[in-house]
Amino acid sequence: MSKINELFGQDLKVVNVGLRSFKESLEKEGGRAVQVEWTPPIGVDASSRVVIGANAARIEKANEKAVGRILAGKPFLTGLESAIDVIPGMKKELILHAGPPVAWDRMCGPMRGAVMGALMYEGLAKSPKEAEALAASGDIEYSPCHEHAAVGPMAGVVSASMPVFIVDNEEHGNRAYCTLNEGLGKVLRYGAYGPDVLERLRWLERSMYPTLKAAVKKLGKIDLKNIIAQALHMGDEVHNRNRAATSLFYRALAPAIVRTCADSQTAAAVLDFIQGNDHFFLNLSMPACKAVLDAARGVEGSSVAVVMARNGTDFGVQLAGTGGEWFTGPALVPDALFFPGYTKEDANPDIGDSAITETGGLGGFAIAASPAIVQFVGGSASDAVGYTLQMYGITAAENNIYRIPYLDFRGTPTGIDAVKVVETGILPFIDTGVAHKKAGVGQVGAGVLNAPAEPFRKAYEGLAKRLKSKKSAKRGKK
Amino acid sequence: MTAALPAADAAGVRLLWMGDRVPRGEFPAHSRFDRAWNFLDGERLISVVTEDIGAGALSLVVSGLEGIEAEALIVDGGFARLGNLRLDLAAAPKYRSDIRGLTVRPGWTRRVEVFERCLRRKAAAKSLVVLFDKRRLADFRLGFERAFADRALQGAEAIASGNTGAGAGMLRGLGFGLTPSGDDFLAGLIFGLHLAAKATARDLGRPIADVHRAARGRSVFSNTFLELAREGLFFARLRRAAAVLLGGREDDVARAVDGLLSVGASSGADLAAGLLFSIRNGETL
Amino acid sequence: MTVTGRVKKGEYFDSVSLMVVGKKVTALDGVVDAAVVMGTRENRAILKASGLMLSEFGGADDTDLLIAVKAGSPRRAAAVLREIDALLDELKKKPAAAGKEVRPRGLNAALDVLPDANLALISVAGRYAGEEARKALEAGLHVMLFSDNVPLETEIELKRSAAKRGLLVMGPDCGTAIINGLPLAFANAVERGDIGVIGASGTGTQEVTCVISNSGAGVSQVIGTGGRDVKTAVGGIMFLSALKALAEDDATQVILLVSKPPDKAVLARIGREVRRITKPVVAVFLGADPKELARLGIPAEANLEDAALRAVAVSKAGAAGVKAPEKREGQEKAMVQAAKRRKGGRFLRGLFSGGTFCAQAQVVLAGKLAPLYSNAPAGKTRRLADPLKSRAHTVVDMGADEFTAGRPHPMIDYTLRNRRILEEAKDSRTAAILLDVVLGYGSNPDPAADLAPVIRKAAASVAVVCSVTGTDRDPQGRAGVIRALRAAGAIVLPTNAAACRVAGAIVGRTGSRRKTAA
Repeated sequence: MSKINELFGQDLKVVNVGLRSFKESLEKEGGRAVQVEWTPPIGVDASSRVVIGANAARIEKANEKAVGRILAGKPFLTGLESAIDVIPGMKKELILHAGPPVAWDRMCGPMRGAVMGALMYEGLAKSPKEAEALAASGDIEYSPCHEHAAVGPMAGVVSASMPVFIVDNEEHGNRAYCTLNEGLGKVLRYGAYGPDVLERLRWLERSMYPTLKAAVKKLGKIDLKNIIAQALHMGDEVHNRNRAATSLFYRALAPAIVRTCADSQTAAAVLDFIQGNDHFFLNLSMPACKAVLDAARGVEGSSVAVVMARNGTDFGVQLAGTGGEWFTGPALVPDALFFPGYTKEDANPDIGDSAITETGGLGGFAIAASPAIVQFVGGSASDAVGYTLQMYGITAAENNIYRIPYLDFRGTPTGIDAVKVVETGILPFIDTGVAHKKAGVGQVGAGVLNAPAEPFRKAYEGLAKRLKSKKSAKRGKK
Repeated sequence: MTAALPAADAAGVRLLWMGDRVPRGEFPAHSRFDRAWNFLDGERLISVVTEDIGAGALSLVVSGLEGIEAEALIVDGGFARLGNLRLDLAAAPKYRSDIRGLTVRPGWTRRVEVFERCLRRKAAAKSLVVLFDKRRLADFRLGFERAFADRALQGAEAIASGNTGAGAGMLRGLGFGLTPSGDDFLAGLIFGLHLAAKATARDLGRPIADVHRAARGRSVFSNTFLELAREGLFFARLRRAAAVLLGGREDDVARAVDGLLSVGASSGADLAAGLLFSIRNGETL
Repeated sequence: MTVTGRVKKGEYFDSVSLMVVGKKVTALDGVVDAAVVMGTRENRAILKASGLMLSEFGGADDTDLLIAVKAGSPRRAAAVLREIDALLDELKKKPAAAGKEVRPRGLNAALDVLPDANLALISVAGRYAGEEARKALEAGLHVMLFSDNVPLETEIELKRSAAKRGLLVMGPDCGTAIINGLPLAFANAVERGDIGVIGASGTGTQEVTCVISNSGAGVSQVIGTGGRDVKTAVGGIMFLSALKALAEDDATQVILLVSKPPDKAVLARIGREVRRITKPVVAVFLGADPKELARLGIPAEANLEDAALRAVAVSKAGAAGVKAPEKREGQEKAMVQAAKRRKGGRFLRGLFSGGTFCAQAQVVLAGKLAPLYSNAPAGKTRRLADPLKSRAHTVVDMGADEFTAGRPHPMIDYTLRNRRILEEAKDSRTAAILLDVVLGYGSNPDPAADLAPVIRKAAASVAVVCSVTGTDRDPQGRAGVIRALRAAGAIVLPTNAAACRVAGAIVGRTGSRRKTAA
């Protein structure tokens, strides 16, 4: 019996792609139908489409492998060190920054400010003027954090003397690094470089760093995955809201600080600093995701994203299956709720490595766990659920540990599949802070945005090119 | 009859404010939006709105209406009937919409300046705030939008040069929204005249009547709104802004503007632009 | 550059919604200019100033919503207009929806919601439709492609791939189908029964299913193939697959084939398949050479009505070869006698919303009225130089591209045809106007209200003959529509073929004495 004859014997159940009225007529006559929310796919060149289509099975298998590594990741905070002592390739005249590569002349305001601040902090320049001249001189090297196993929020600037958290992925044996969160107000990550900013950085280096280092040493290691999983149940998505995770971290750390810090004044100052800064944990959720995602690199043929990062000028994507290649497009300005006195005019395009959380199945992808955030940016709780549900359409897996209570503890959508992004036209959803476009003004709002299409289009085509050349290389050998 | 119905509270529905001009009668349901439900009896419009919209002379502010269905709103003595729910009108706080009770304090001019600055800074693109900030013309990109902006500028110029009736006629019904931008602007203009009259102790009854006459059209929404403006009956957000402008602190102006701007898509901005326009041009009107 | 638009009366949307729609629209691909505004005098003035004014906005009121779109191509403009409708519909639904409906994005997500789905109904723009259909086939779904403008190569590729998997691809440009009793796209609410229909022409298929249902029989399955399936390039892949499937289907006792003439090679293949099948088959290939059909052993009728009635007779009697009843001819004669005649009126003007009906009119009127002109000529009919201007006897397919560009289909939107009806009625040479009305899902929801006033005006000077394709279970209700059209002065017939015969006879009587010149 043909499939057509089988159909005649079944209840007709229809997937309706297009005119909604067709679904309504069907239902009026007692039929069952589901309406597809359809958006045109992202335009990619036809030959890439053919290559990707022909390799579908292979890509799927590679993605399974990549996502398997991501889900198995076990990120622990194991210590703190100076950047220069641990970050691969770190040196005095090197400045790491957020997002894909960008030269000084294309850097946005906040990133320039942060670079200048870092140069003064390192003692390489004495005044902002000197710092600016040095930054532009060509004597300073710039490189993305992501190319040094590191991540940084907003400008993401890391220089040699800065203390960094060390996160070990015990499953895979790799590490990730991130600076300490400086708190709110005028801070380097938003491009501020005044004396008070530098003073705070020095305090972090002199007081905070040794105190935390001793406490972590005492504890041995802190299980970040565990804290994140719990925080999701407490209303965080660990990108834009880290209040619960910071509290949990504080709870784990405080006794050790009290026990290891000789000077009670310093201990109190450090604990006060953490408890006064709801975003303290962001600088741990980010390297936790980074450590886990880096493990998926090098799975040939995989279309799963291991990086989404922005430098305030460009938005960059890297895939598990395309080596170290960056696929970039212009960064967009978030659709934000602005703090009083600021408007979209003031906003810098999207900036920071913090989209690593979305790449790892958290942040905007887990926003259904964090309705408070959506309210913060002017949406409703049901919007939050909608955003997360949509992301299942472009991910390769559901998380085994990170779960969302409201969705019956369904795992968060994890492992962004660039092929699915292109085919469905659904773009990754990011919720984020918004920086003022002028250096040093600070945060002007918080908002949500979809990743731009261009980097994903390029990533799709890049993967196709790689698959094609691999194939012809093989044929060549024969 | 009405008293026998289940009280609304029992269904999780709460009447939070009762407008001071809500008339009695039977009002068939007319249209329903996310945050507002309109009931229309020939010419009279009553709106049942959520807390986000806030109180008004002809509104009932009710929470918890999701899922409640009704074909009509019946208002009699102490009760209103919405579907099969009974709303206890007598027990609800009564919203006072006129501005007679507001205090006038020195600093009016300065507060108006802050008001203008906030407006220019924060108002939605494609709103009539463009009248005060020509750089905003760049927001009007499409042919239709440009034609809209041109026409609005002409109308405003006519009003500013003393041709109140002609200018209002050009702005009437113009532009975007259920109550088109122009109507919001003209209502704002009238509200602004009431404000200016109070702040500067002048009688602006004649220009109020002129603008109102020229502005009336055939949309019941716009007409109801314009009528409220004519009578000087302010809705809550607008009344808050009025209170701040007349006698509040300069620091509070920004928040009052935020409140106004969150009305509709550009309605609040258009209204605020009208308000400012009549305060600025009060002399010639 | 095309400007198109519409007026929405009595529908209200709050300002935020209108702004959201406005913003989305201007962001759509290919939109040059657009406005979604209330129909105040001032807004109409600026619509005019910005080149977005349309004649239908003339009578708009302050409370009407006007939608105008300027886009690079008519098709794009029409698509944008549809998109706006969908957006507004969405907004309308919102307040009532307490429990939100799950709206999966993408086909695969839809399969999570409805895992045992077995058919994808696709009506997105043609250039995307092929890709969606391919995904559906890969997921093991049968496909109905309502979309038109799907490239021929894509159609061939899809159908070959479907045939390999044993799946059905109905369309592209497939307007109607009824699977397991459920209407897909433009279909009528017809009775179930044992007649299986395969249609390569949409309105033709609707007509035969309605005749079947109204005659007390019913359909088992109605499978559309799209018009190109029976062309040599596609090779009748789906027509033949459907034929095989119905031959094996126990619920199907009679098979009825509906199409414009298939290409020769395809016709031969159909003939071979028909000869193999043991079930009775009836075909109507409008305009095909009867001798050729006989040679191939395909039992055929010349028009849709006769074919449907023959299928009904076979279904009821279990025997072939029943002629249409005598009663019908008597009634038609009486109608012709009673018809109003216009002094000097000599010509027939047929204005059809269904393309198949325009084709059938030419078949029925061939040899009776000459010269016959059409914008979609077949057989001996001559091509109309200007589709907007009738000459002599004329039949017009109002669903042809030149009329539908940037507008809804004439089965939905009667505006253009109504205007044309009045023009033809004014022409002193017109003797009769011939119309079709198609009911069912997807068609104009209230045809009587739109058409009756126009018929009343036209019928004051000429005979107006109209067929109604539909059933009483259709959302519009056939009986009510017929009553309303008759009350307006139309001569209403149950089928297009009958309407063609009656209209032809009326014109034949009035104009037969003089040889007509174009």
